[in-house]
Amino acid sequence: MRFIRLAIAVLATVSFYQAGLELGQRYINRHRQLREIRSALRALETEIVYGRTVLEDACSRLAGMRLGAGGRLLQWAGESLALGMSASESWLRAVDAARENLDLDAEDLRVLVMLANILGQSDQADQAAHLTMLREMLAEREEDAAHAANRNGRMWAYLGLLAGLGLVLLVY
Amino acid sequence: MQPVEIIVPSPTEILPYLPAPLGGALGAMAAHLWASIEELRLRIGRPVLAVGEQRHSYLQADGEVTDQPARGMVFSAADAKTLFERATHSSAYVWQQQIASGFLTLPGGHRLGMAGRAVMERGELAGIRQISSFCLRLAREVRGAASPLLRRIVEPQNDRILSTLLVSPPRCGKTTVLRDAIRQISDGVGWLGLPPRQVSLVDERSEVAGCWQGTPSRDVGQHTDVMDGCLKAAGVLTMLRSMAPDVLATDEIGRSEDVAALEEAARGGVSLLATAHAWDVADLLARPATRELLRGGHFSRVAILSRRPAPGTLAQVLDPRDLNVRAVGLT
Repeated sequence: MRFIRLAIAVLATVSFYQAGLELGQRYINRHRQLREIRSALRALETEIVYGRTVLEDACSRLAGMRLGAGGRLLQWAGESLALGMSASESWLRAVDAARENLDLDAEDLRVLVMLANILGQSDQADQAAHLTMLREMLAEREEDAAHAANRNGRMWAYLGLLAGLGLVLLVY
Repeated sequence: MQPVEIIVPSPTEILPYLPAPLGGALGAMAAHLWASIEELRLRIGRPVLAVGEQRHSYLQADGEVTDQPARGMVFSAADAKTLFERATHSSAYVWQQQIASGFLTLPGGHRLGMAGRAVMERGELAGIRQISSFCLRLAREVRGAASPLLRRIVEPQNDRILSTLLVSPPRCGKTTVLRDAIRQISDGVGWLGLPPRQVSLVDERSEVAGCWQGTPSRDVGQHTDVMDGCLKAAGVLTMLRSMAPDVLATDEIGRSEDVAALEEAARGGVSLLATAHAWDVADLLARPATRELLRGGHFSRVAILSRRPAPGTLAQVLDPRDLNVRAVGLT
């Protein structure tokens, strides 16, 4: 009987610790995903300014590269473009998919949405200027995400562990 | 002589680019009406105008046409945005050079002219934003359109093609005749006993070959090489160096830099086929570039085209030596 109680206590503690780790991991993921999106946007800018590549082709080409979250974002946009949607609609759908599948916060997504008004709709210089501005804004978000990851990543893991231990103490 | 065969573009070439209401109306249009349309004039807040050979009429939402503007379907700002996005494949930066020239060429050689707010840089038009008007000019292939001309400029006994300048006002079929002349010369003019020739086409505005991503979508012959979207002067010299053509063709000459390039080609023994805008011979001679080319003796024939009875009609073929070019040049 004592062995079963001990096993339940250990299981509860580990479960809470893992839940804490997962919550903390989202902060770390967000930081990494923002960095990957910035890299992907730099690659997209190169395709636009130097390659003069049609947006749909640029998105699908970059989606095939190992650009992590940034590659996925461009893949979602490219899929909508391939269906004949406008660049604006396609980008908004990609950001919606990011909301569902990535760990970005509302402010990160708001920054990304801004690209919908300009993507593919002007000359190279204008596209480059807007993509640069967006990357700078994302860099600020990335800095914020780095602080949040440092601050909250470990905190949630410890909180999970403490919550598990606290529950065990309360029950037993 | 090859019989004349008019190949009307299929609506499916155009419909993917058009916004839903306009595409729906044209999709529902009777075949004979569609075949009669040469241009669509699309202006924000105005009824859609269908320009035909014989008449101008307004397009209705059900695909019929009317003479009453109030019954025509109105082209909206949203329609303009959709058309521009689709024509540029949501990638305006790819076509910024063409947009700055005021038009885009769609696959099939259909030309989408545009007007709106100009972006000026160092005194030159660098682009157009807030586009409010479009002119969609449908390219049609007329096989055999150049036969009357070829009869006058091909000399099989001397195994040569006389360098010819095709001249007319807009919408008289210069590009159509040029395209067919290129095709026939390239494939060989069997009915005149002329074997196939190597033709180089410098297609600055992509209207002749209708290139899409570098590949011609119009039939310009088996032995034709196309330099697409290139300034004529640079394109002519490059083709001379790289492709060793028997015949060099280009559309719409008129700039002074074109003259030097064409002179270079003519001196190399290449036959020239070119078009130029002019209302008549006097107008042609009043333009410095064409006057200079004619004065230099680089063209052996000037072919004047007319819309009567139909676009592409060969009205006159002149020998420039009879045009008193030198006298005009001295005034």
